[in-house]
Amino acid sequence: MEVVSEVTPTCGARDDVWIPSTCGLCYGTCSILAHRVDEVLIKLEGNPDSAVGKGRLCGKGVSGLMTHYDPNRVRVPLRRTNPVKGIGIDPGWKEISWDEALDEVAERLRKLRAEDPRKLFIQRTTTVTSSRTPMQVFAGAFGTPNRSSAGGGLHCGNGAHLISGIMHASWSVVPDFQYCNYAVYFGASKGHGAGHASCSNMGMAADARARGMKMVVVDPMCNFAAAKATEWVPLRVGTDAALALAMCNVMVNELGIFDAPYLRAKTNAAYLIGPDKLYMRDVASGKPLVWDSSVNEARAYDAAKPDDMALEGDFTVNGVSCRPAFQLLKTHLARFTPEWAEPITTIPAKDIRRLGTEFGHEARVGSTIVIEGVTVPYRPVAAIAFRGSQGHMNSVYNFLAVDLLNQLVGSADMAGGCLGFNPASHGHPETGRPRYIPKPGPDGLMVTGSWMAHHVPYPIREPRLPEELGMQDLFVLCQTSPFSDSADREEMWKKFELPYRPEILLNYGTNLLMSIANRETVAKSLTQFKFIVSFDLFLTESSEFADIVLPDCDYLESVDSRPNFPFIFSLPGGMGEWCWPIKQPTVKPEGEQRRSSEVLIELADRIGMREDLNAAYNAILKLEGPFRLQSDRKYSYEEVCDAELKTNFGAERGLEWFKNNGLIKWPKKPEEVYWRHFVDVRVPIYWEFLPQLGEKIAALAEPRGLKIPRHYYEPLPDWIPCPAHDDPGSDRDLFAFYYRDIIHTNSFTMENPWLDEAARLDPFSYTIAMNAETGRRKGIEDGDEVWIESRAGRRVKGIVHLTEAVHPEGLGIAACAGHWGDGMPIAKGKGVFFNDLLELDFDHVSPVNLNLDLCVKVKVTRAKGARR
Amino acid sequence: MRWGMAIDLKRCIGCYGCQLSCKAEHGTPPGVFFARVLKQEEGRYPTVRQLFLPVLCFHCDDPPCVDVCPTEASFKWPDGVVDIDAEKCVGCRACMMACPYTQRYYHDEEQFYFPGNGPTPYERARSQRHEAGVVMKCNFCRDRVRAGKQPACVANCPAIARYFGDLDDPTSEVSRLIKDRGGYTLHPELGTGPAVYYLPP
Amino acid sequence: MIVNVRLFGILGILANQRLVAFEMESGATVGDVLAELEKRFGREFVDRIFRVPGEMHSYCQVFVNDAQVNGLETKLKSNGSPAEVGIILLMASEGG
Repeated sequence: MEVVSEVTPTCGARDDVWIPSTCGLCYGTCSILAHRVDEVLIKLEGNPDSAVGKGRLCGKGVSGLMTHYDPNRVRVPLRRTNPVKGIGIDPGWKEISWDEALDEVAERLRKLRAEDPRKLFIQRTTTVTSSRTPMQVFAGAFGTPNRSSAGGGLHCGNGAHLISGIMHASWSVVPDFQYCNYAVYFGASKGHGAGHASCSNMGMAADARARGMKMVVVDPMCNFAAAKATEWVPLRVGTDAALALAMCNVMVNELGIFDAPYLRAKTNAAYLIGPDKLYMRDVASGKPLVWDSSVNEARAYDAAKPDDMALEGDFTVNGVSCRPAFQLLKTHLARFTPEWAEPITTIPAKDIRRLGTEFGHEARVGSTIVIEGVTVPYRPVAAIAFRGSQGHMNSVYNFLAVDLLNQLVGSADMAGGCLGFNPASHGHPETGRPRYIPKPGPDGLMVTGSWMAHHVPYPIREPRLPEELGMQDLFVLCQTSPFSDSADREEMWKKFELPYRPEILLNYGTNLLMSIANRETVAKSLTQFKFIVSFDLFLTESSEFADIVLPDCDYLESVDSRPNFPFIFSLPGGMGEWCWPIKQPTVKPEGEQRRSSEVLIELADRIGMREDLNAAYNAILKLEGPFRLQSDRKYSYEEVCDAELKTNFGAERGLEWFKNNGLIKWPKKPEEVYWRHFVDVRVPIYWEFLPQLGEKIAALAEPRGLKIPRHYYEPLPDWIPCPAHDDPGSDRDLFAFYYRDIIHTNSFTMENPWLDEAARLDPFSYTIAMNAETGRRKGIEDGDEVWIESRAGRRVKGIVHLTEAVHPEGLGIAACAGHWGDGMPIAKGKGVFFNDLLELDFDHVSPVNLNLDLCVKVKVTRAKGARR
Repeated sequence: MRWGMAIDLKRCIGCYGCQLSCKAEHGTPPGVFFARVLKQEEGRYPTVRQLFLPVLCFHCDDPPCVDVCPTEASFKWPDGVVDIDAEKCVGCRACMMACPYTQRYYHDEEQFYFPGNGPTPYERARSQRHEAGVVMKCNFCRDRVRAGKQPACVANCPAIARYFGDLDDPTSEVSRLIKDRGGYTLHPELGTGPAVYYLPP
Repeated sequence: MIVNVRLFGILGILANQRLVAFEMESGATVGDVLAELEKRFGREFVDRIFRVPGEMHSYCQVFVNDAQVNGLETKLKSNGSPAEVGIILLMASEGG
C-alpha cells in the first residue's frame, strides 16, 4: 500500500497533490489526506502516518467532500430584513458585504463591551473542535464568562466529562484495548461508533475482540457496541446505577474482592469519616486523617504509610467515633443486592450476580505485568460509561457508580483497565512540551494535568450568587447549562438576582433549536436576544433567528495548529504514539466565505481589544519566549498557529514545516500511559465535598425559593429514579431515548447526500426502533407512522421499525434528525426529532451538574392514514 | 492468480466506511453502490444478535452474469476479476437478472446528488465519467490495484475487517485467514464460486 | 522596583484601567501585587481572582515578565526595567 505522508505532487505539471490535514465531520478529528487535482478535491483518505485514525476513516469522514461541495452552503454575509423572528418565519435575507457586516457586528459588540461584557453570550458547536480555541480566546478577551456548547454539552458533558475529570484526569474513559480482557459498557459505544478517537478506537476495539476480550454491553438497544458484544444486557432506560451498584455489592460484600493496596494509596478510601459525613481532620494541619494500624492512632493521610492505613473498622478519634470511607462504602453497598436491582433494571438477579462475579475475578487483583521493561499493576477489566448512562437527572451517581467498579478493583488507569485519554504527558523528547501530569490538590485529591478549558473539575469552586447566566458559578459542578435557554431561565435569573440579561448571541455553527430540547422553549429564548450573529456553513433552523449570518470556511478551507490537543480529548488512549497533527487549507473557498478564526481577530481589532486578544492567545496556547504574541501587533491566525507550533516543537518546526509534514509523533512511555501507578495522587471514592456543596448551594437557593434536593448530594452514589420512571400515566408505557447513530453527527450530517442516502437505506437511522413483541401487543406494524407523546403533551411523528434488538419498554431514536428548514434541503424531513420531546427547566436536569434528563415516558399511537 | 477478499464479521462494526469510501473512490451515481452494508437480526429478544453484512460483487469463478451477457460486455479478467466494458454494454440488464447476489446496478440516466443544482465540482471530476444506460458494478478497484494499492474499501476499513489478496497463493494472508477461520461464501450451493469470503462473527 | 500590571479582559474593564503601575519592595510576590490591587480596586475586584482565600481560580492566568506562573509566592524580578505582570481571567467553561 502506498503511504503518502507529506504534500506529494503525484505527477508533473498539473496540480495533483495529497495534503495532510484533519477531518471535520465530527469532533473525533481523525487525520486525513486530501487529494486535490486541478484545484478540485477528488478524494479524502485517512493519513496512515497518523496515530489519530491510523489511515482509516469512518463513513462520515470519507463523505466529507459532499458536505464541502454542497451548493447549499452559505457563501456571502447575510442580513435579515424582517425584524420579526420565529420558527418558520422568513428572515428576508439580504446579501451584504463583509465590511458592512463586520462594521455592524463590531459596533454593537464595542458598545456592549463598554456597557457590560457579560451581556455577550458565546455558543459553539462541539462538532468543530477548531472553533474551541478562537472562541475561548475571544470570550476571555471580551470579558464574558458566558459560553456554551449547546446540546453537545448539556446532553453528554456534565456527567461524563466532569467525573472522568475528577476520577481519571481526562475528558472521557476507554478500555485499555491492548490489554483489557473484560469490558462492561454502560450506554457507551467507544470503538463502535463516533466519538473521541473514533476511528483509532474502532481498530483497537476490533483487535481486542479478535484477541478474545469479553465485552458486556449494558444498553436498552442492541446496536453498534451491543451488536459486537459477547453479551448484550438490555436494561430499563436510565437504571444503570442500580446495576453498577449491585455489581459493586456482589464484589465487595459477597465475594470480598477489592484492591486494598490501591484503595489505600490511590483513593480516599482510608480517610476517616465522622458522623457529620465529613473528614476527620488533623487539628494542626487541617489534613484528613487515616487510621494508622502500625501505631494504632489517627494520622494525617500523608503521614502514614498506605500499607498501614485501615480500610475497615470503627475508630474513635478525640472522642468522636468515625470509620474509614471504605467501611462506609461497604456498608452502603450492602443494600444494593441483585434481588433489589432486578425489578428496577429488569435484569435477572442471577445475571447481575454473575456479571459482578466475572468482573471481580477477571480483575486479577494483585497481579502485575511488564510493559516495555516497566512493571505496572495488571487489572484487565474496565467499566465504561458515556452519554447514555449519564444523561439523566441522576447523572452524577450513575457515572460514579459505574466508575466505582474500576476503583474497587484498582483498574483505573492501570494496564488493561479503564483509562482516561492520555492524562499525563512528558512532552516531545526534544522540547519537553507539552508536559502535564495530574497533581494532588486540596485534601490530596487529584487535579487534572490538562483540561479543555481553565475550569478544572477539581478543586471545585465556592458557590455564589450567579454572575454567569448559566449559573455555573452557583451550580459549580455544571459545565454546560440549561439556563441559557430554559423555560424557567428568567424566573431563575430573577430568583438569583442576575445583575444583567444577555443581549447579543455570538453563535458558531450550533443549531440550538434542534440540539437542546423542545424547539418552542429554545425559540422563545432566541427571540429575546437583541442581536444574534451566527457563523454558519448552512442556514440552519436556528440561523433563521440571526440578524447577521457570516459564511464560514469549512474544515478543508481552514487552519488549526492543535486539532488533537489537548490530548485528553481524541488522541487514542493506551500505548502507542503521541501524535500532533495540524489542519491546513486544502482549497480556497468557492464563495466569499472567510475563516471564523480570522474574522474573530478582525472583530477584536475593530472593537479595540487587540491587546486582550493577544494576551488570551498567549495564555491559552501557553506561548513562550520569542514566540509570545506582542501586545500591539495584529496577527493573522496562521501566525498564531505558527507561534504555538514553534513554542512546542522548536523554531524550525513552525506552520510551514507542519504543512509539509502534516504531523509530528513520538512514542508513549508506560510511565505516561499508566501514570497513576507512578504519581502520588488520590481520587475520591467518597465524595466528601458533595454534602457540603449541597448545603452551600441550598443556603443561597432555598431562601430564594428553590429547593435543593439533598439526596442528590450524598457522598456515596445511589440510584434515584428519573422523572420518566415516576410518571404515573398508564397509557404512557414506553421510555423514549435517543442514541448516536454511526453515520450521523449531531444535526449536521443529514444534509450530506451520501450519508443521507445510507441512512435512508439503514433500518434504524431514520426510524423509531420498537420491540417487535411490544408492537404486536399494540397493533403496530413495521413501517407504521406513529405519534409519540410526552406527559407535557409534546408530540413527534415517525416511522416505526419493529425489531428484536430493543428493550420491550424502550423506544430508540437515532441522532438529532427531523430538520424542517429550507437551508438544508437534503436533511429536511428526514428522521425523527427526538429532542422536541424534552422539557428544559430545573425540574428536568440533575440538581447537581444540571445535565438534562434524556429519557421520556411516552404514549405511542398510530398516526391517521394508510400504512407506509 | 485470483484476486479475492475476506471480510471478518467479528471485526466489522457496520460503520458504512466501506460503502461510503467506495462511493468516494468511484463517484457512483445516486442509488448505485459497488459496496453496501446490510443489517440483519438473528434470534428473539433478549438473545438477539445484530449482524452487519458488508456485500459487494463476489467476483464468481463461474459468473452467471458473464454467461448471459449478449454482447460480451461482462467479462472476467485472467486474474479472476469480473468487470464490465461500458463500451460494449447495451443496458439490457440480463446480467442483473442472472446475478444471484444482486450486486449489479443499472445507471439509467445522468443524475447528481443535489437535485436541481447540476454536478458539484467533485461530481464533475469523478461522476460524470460514468456513462448512462449501462450496468455498473464493483471491479475490485482495478485502477487502484494496478497502481499497487488495495481496493478503497479494504484500505479504509477502520475496523480492519477486510483483507485482499491472491486466493491461488496458499500463503497469502487472505488464503490463510479463510483456511484458519473457516471462511465461507454466500450461497455456495449455487456453484458460482465467489471470491469473497466471510470469516464468522 | 516599579511594577507594571496589565489587566486584560474583564479585569481591565472593571478597573477601568488597562495598565496599573506602582512601586513595590524588592522581593515582592504575585500575592503582594494582588493585595495592592485590592487596595486600589476593592475586595470585589480581587474576589474574582480567588477560588478561596490564598488560592487563585484555575482560570486566572498570571504572567510575570512574560512567563506563566502558578502560585502567589512567585517573586517579581525587575532587572532595571519595571517588572511586568499580566493578569487575565479565562472564565468561560468548556463542555461537550
